[in-house]
Amino acid sequence: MSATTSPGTPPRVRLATMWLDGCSGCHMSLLDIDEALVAVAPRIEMVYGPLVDAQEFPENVDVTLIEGAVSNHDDLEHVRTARARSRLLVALGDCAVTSNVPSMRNRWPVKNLLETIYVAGTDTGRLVPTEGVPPLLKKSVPLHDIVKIDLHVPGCPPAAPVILFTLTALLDGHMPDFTDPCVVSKVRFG
Amino acid sequence: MSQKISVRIDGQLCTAEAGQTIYQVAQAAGRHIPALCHMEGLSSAGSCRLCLVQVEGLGRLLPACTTPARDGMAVTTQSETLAHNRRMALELLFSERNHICAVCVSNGHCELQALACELGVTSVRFPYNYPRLPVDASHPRFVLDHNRCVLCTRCVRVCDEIEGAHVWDIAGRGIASMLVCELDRPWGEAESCTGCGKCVQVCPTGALVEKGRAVEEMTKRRGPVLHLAERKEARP
Amino acid sequence: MSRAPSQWFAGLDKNFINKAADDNAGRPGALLAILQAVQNRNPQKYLPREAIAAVAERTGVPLSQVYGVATFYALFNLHPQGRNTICVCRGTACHTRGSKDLLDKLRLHLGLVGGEDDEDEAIATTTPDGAITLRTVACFGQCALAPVVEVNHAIFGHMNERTLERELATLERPAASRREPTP
Ligand code: SF4
Ligand code: SF4
Ligand code: FES
Ligand code: FES
Repeated sequence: MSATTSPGTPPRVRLATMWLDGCSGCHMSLLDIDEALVAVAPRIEMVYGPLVDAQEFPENVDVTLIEGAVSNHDDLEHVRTARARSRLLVALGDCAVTSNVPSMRNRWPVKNLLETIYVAGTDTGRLVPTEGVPPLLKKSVPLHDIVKIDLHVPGCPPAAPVILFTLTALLDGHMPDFTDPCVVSKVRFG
Repeated sequence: MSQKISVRIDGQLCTAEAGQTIYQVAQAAGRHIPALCHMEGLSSAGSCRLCLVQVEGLGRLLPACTTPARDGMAVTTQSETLAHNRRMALELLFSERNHICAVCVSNGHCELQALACELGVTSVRFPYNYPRLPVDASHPRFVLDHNRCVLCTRCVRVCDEIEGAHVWDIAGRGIASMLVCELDRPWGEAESCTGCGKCVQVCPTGALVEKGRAVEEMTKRRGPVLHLAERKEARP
Repeated sequence: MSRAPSQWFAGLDKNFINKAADDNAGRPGALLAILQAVQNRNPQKYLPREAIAAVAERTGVPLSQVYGVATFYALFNLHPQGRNTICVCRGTACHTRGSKDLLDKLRLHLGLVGGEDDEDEAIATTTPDGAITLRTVACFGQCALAPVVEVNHAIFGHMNERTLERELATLERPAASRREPTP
């Protein structure tokens, strides 16, 4: 993908993606739009995310798609950076929208949880890791608990046609309506 | 012969029988009103508030499934206000317990989920409650997962009204309300349960399910219950 | 919940329940009246499971329905009540005047602090020696006196830790149970 535009064509939309506490399924689903990628690709410039090689979240991003819940201190920082540097922030998939599977731990205090897994649950080690891993938040929460989210795309993962419908709408400069008869049967909440 | 009344549903003049609910009249007129706790063939509970409608001249919204239609009533079933309130009711249901659809046996066949899509709910604005709730797997064939129960009382009603066993009821009140089996007994020890499975088939969510189903595998059969309800109705 | 038949019930003449049920049969709200009569008859002021089952049997009301009614109304208790009742108001006015603090202090004082999972705002808990039941209420309607605490049905306004302790000291409590709560 190159960032150059030929004169006369509209500037490419600067798109970033971000992977927080999720399984990467939403990114997979994004790639699952298959040949439609070819049609979408010339209209976007991928500036950040697991699919490209950028080290730092750039400034002036038009749209950022975020997969995953906010579960630890790193997630917190990342989602705040994304908010500050993006025009439009999209919660992509149920973990980002509802905190989904990551939230299943929310019913137990973090301390009990870690000890159950790393101390009681193993014969080796018997130590809760603290180095090189960001501390967990008390609860795993949806993105909109932390920053303002402009659009929620539910689904675990959102079906490829739903992602395509979303991208096309955003590239055409409007918000998608998921009750639209052409996608409603493919949208799933929760 | 029961008395005839006329009701206006979204501007359309309908003839109905006295005693019919707004929901029934609207349905006969081909107007769709979202509903969750209501189920054909069972009495109405009015617990979910999804079927709210506007009645001309009344300041507050009324549940269509429990409000009797009256002669000369003018009812609106679709509007921005209604959509707003229905969405809010749904979001509150989602936030109250732990609906992790991705790992639910009823994923894709759940009425709560379907309503969210129908009404365009794409996120829940209220903080999730994350309660710690039990799962009762003591019955040899069925499971009750309180995490997914929306307290619609369909199971209570079908077991009482169609099966005649009245195994279930709601204990406690407010946010602490819980579905209970007899005197808060494990289902597997219930003396009054016949094991007919009607409660499982009418439960709109993955709260009452058959054992041995994997994620997305639990589809429910409403047909037999509807059929029994019809026959009961037809009896003199 | 314990399944062993309660002592009170074992000694109870089942005729009392049957009579209460028959006396009220057919009246609106019969179930409430019956349950109330049965609870009042119990010196520990609660409805044991056996009593609920006996009411269901006599009235023909399904077990789960009687249980539903008994758990819906705050008036009915499913556990033995203490000889004294202290009720702390958790309404808005009392909350802003520190009723949560009072409640926490009371819990600590009475040894009613559970594990880390215990529900903070449980409606009623009783000391193991059966001396005192601690309850909360949503508002006594005496907000001007906030914070309000009711001790054995007498209302006390503008409570603080000191006045509360004074009231507590007047309550009958066997000396043996006045030990410090075990951590
Ligand atoms: S299996 Fe049948 S009898 Fe048993 S609780 Fe369900 S509806 Fe009632
Ligand atoms: S178990 Fe199912 S049918 Fe019964 S109240 Fe809960 S959601 Fe409704
Ligand atoms: S369907 Fe009418 S209140 Fe639930
Ligand atoms: S808030 Fe305590 S008496 Fe009203």
